[in-house]
Amino acid sequence: MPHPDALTRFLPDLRRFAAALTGSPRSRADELVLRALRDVMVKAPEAGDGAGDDQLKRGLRANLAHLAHVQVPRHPAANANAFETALLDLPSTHRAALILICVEDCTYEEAAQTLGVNRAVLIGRLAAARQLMARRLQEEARSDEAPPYLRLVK
Amino acid sequence: MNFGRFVSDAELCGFLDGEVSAARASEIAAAVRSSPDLQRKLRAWREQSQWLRASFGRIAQEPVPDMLRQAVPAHRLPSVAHEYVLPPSAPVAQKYARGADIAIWKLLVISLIGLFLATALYAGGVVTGTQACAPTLIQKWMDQPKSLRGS
Repeated sequence: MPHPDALTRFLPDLRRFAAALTGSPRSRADELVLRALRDVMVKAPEAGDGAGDDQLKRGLRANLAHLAHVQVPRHPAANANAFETALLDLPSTHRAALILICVEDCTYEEAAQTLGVNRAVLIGRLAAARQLMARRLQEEARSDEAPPYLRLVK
Repeated sequence: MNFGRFVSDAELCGFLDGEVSAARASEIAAAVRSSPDLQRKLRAWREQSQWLRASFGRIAQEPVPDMLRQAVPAHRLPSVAHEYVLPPSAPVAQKYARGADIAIWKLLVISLIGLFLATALYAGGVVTGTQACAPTLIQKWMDQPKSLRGS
């Protein structure tokens, strides 16, 4: 099991990553962090033994990204703004890549290792995420500008 | 057509995130200056990055909820799986583990030699050789008349 001090030290960063992955409400992100911690302590207790801080953090982030991929529904909160809606609308693998680079300030190499893909795949996902998000925001802006009788109804 | 000026989305990403070489970065910067499309794209991507940082960056400064703090034990928990593999102390157990590896190899080599010898004996090669070179006392004893064997 990793040292408790290391886990406690990483908690704020893990919460930030989880919150970006899941969107609001924040409780959903905290539940995800809790699950990731339990996975490390109970299911794979030997995983953190002898691991460096970077390795441990990468492992926890990878676990969070996986949990968000399999367990978190993509339903933005009712009060979510256009950016948050566009972010949650992305495929979870693309969202994780974008967040690792833009929020967590990872290098491409670190992000690729965290997500278990090579650099080219990571860049592909990142570019696609940015393009999809930009298109979504553009559509949102157009629908806001349009008169009510022409508004896009989904 | 100047292909040096062509900029893919992947390269534009690298340019935005500082992940392209300095030479390529200056080429991309020149391409962006001359292309309104690239400028628009880059501006949109920058806005996304700024929004992401502004929205989630401050979460790391917030106090961590008790629920999460309490989930981390104060001390390292004993790991059952770990203890099973490496019982009393890791260095000694690792030594034993290495010893076990060597023992398995030894067993395998001895088994292979045994199998080879058994096959050779079965084929008769070794037996014939023994018979040929060892007209032993037993053979002499067998060749004697029965009346003389008992003495």
